[in-house]
Amino acid sequence: MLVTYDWIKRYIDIDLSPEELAAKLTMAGLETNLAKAENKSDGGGGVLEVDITPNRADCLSVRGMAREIAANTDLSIKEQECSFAEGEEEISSQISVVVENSERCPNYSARLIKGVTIAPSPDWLQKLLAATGTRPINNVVDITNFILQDEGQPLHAFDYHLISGKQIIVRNAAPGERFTTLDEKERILTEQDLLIADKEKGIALAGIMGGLNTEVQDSTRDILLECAYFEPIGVRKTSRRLGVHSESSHRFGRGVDPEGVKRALDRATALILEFAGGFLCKGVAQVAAPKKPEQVVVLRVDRVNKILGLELSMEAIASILDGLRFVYEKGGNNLSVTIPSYRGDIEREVDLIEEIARLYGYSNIPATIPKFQITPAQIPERIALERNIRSLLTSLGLREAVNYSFIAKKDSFPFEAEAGEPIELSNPISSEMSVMRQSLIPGLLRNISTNQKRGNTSVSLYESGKAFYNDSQGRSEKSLLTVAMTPSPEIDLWSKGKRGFYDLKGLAEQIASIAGTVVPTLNRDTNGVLFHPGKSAQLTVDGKRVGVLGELHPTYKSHFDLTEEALLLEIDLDLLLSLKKKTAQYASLSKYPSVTRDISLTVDKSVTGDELAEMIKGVGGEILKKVTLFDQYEGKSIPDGKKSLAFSLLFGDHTRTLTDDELNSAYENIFNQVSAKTGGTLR
Amino acid sequence: MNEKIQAIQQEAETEVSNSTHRDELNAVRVKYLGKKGIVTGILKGIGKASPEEKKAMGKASNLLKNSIEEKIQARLHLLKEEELKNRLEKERIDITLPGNRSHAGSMHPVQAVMTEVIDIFSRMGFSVAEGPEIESDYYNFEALNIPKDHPARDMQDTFYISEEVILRTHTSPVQIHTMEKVEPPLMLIAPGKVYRCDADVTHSPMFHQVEGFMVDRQITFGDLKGVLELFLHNFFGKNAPVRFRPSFFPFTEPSAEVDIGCVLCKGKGCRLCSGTGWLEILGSGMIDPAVFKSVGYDSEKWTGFAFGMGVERLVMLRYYIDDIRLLFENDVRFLAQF
Repeated sequence: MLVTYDWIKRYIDIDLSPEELAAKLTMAGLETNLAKAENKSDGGGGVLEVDITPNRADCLSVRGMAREIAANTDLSIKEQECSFAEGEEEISSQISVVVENSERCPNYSARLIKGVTIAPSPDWLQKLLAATGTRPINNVVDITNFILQDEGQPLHAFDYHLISGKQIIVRNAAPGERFTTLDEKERILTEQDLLIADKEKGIALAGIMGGLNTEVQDSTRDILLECAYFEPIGVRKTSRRLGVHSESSHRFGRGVDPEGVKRALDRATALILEFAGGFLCKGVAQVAAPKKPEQVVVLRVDRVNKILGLELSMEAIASILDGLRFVYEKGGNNLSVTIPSYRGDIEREVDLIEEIARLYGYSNIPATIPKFQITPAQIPERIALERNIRSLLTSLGLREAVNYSFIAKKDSFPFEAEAGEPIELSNPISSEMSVMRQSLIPGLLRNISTNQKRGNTSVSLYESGKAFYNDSQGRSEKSLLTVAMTPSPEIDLWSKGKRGFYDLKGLAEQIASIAGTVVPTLNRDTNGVLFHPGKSAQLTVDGKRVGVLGELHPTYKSHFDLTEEALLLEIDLDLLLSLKKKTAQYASLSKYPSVTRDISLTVDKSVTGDELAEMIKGVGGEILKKVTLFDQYEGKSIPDGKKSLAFSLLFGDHTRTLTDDELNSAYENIFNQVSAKTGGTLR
Repeated sequence: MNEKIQAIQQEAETEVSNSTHRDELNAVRVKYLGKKGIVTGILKGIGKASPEEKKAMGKASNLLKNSIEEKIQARLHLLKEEELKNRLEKERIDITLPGNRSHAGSMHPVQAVMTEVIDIFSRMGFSVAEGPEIESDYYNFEALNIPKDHPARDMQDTFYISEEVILRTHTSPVQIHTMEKVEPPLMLIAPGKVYRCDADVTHSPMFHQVEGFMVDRQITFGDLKGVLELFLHNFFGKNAPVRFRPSFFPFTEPSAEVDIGCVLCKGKGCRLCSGTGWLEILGSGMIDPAVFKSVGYDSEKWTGFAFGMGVERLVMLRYYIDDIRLLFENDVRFLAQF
């Protein structure tokens, strides 16, 4: 909200400079900055931009700001002049008011001023309004805008002659009723909308905007001046639904002072008579509910000190209430405080405690360290696992990415066969972010694509985050860990050549190891559409599918706009964490030396490394301790359709040194049995 | 005889000092002290002399032998030292050439800062709780004293999946879930992703928050100040000025916003702090009794404070990043800077 320093001075004789005032208000809870001096018409003191929180509707006016300043400075508010004379003609003969919905409008009042001359407002008023960004229009309209900003009470001026039937009816709109507001837009209303109407038609959208049909024009002579209280929630709902927002709807929407209606009407009337001339009909056309009883809140001194951590005496608290101009009665160790009508935000004791704290000064409340029982802080296991994985991947040269949880529908498609329809947002911020991701892969592939377009060809990324699913029980969320990289490494990366499937496999094994589970088994069943069927695998531990890895299917390369293949690994961290952990246990070291022998076998291509290793283990006997595959070779000296696999065999015995004879015969036995089974030959 | 011995001594010494390396020195030793060496030869010729002569000669030649031996040892020592010195000089390398290192990747700055914030609070004793990102309107708003149609809802534009199911706009629902299940006293932080329908240079439709709260029998506003100051000094440095000013949140009363002195201009006023000299970091306040009511805590018995901060804000302030969108583009040139 904009307010000028000079305008405030009409209410209160502040001796602070605008900068000091802004600082003081900020520390009282109204964040204030000096707005840039764009026009020189502000009177010299500058324009203040005040950020008023939703609970301080009472500050949406200069009067309200002045009250707040008075509470913080011990200055007093100047009375605003208001005097006028009524004429002879009774208003009741000219107009009557009927309120059909008194819940939405507990107080409707209006005065009638006849014979005005519509003309530009005096200079000082035009300048005052212009400084806060309100365009001066004519004397009558400007006065209503002036009182709105000055008192915080919106008014509306109707051209009396355009009102039919000498009656104002405050009613709900009929469903589908059409109404054209002052901005020349036609609105289609529902029975949720409150309308100010005459006998024939709607003439104002209550509390929000007047109608085009009764607008005050240069030729207008008689003014019906409305001043009312409209219930906030109704005004907000209509305003939001129709998308019509005004200074008026803003104030009614937050709640105006129910007791402020009369004063605002009187002041506006006095000013209109002063600047536009004319004569005032006698009386006020009004329908008002009986005044609500004043609200009294009991404030306990002990409670104040308990919440704030202070030791204030009742006198100290009372003096703060004095500053606020709140009336109270002392009783025991409590104060019964009468809440003024303009402070709709104070309803309970704790609201008063905030006022005490605010005016005492937050900076005056000493900072203390609470006493608390010592309990070890608990951190979810998944967070600890994520941190360890992060360390691992970072030290291996990958960079961590963070992507939005929502993706484009078209990128969700490859996952839908398995995961089903994605969760859709009903009000996405864009079509590129309209469904919740079911995997972290699309986001990372888009990252790779963006990077490649910018000339960063080699990309190695990982991300840890949630994916979202519709399932039989509603909606579920899973924590995933995903790696996406181009085969080309960044320079100096840990493996010099291009990366491929086996690098992903290695990563998966390392991650499983960090999580403490056994090494995952791989099988080809990815049953997805996403991967190259020959270069992908499913990861299983204890029969549960913990992840997938492999090369992106070539058909998706162009969909995701990639210049190179993409290598992907995705692991379900929640599932991984739920699996049984390996426990370490000490096994004694052999005192006797072990021996390593290599064996190279040429076998058919269809024989897998695992198969052959298992075979060797099976026939190696007790003394064969470990079988490690260390090379695969297909080349010049190997016949077509065959390949050579080289294993390192570790032999040993806990109780003795093995003899050469034993070793040789074991080796030969291995070879004979394996070659008999596979037809393999020694290389 | 004596002159002869002296002459041999001189000759030997000269030859020893002229030896430039071990092989030469060895040859000299063999020449004089070897089986067929000169000094050995003298001793052999002793047989023909008289007993007094024998005694004198024996003594003299032993002295000679020892002296030559000494000299040889000394020279050997010297030669060894020089050899070592030469070798070390030859092996000298250029230490300014690049080191061999395996190229490291990087953590995302948001995750790094999130980890730091979590660690500061967990060291104080705060446990960490998490909750779903898709939430119900009840847990995200109503239980936090934000009824439907309340103007406070305008403060947080919400993504809807259906009328009652939304993407959470803050991590406060986690606190409600926890308080419903657990009795006080409690000390908890809730980090995680949150969503608001807003996008510009400083706002993103998805961002990260760390919220927290502390509930016990005697928690005061003073305690709120103390704990949050402790956090801010740990994160921004002991000398960072901190101030608390009144504000409004529907779920706290009294509410406060916590600022630190501007990291860029140190309080003089600049574009980053909009000329105020202060940067807003945290929202906080004493937990509103209405919130305790939603979770079944007796607000006469228990009091507490709550606080929350945006992680991206901390990241952007620490690294002087001017556009929040950079954090989600994942350009590797950007990520490599952290």
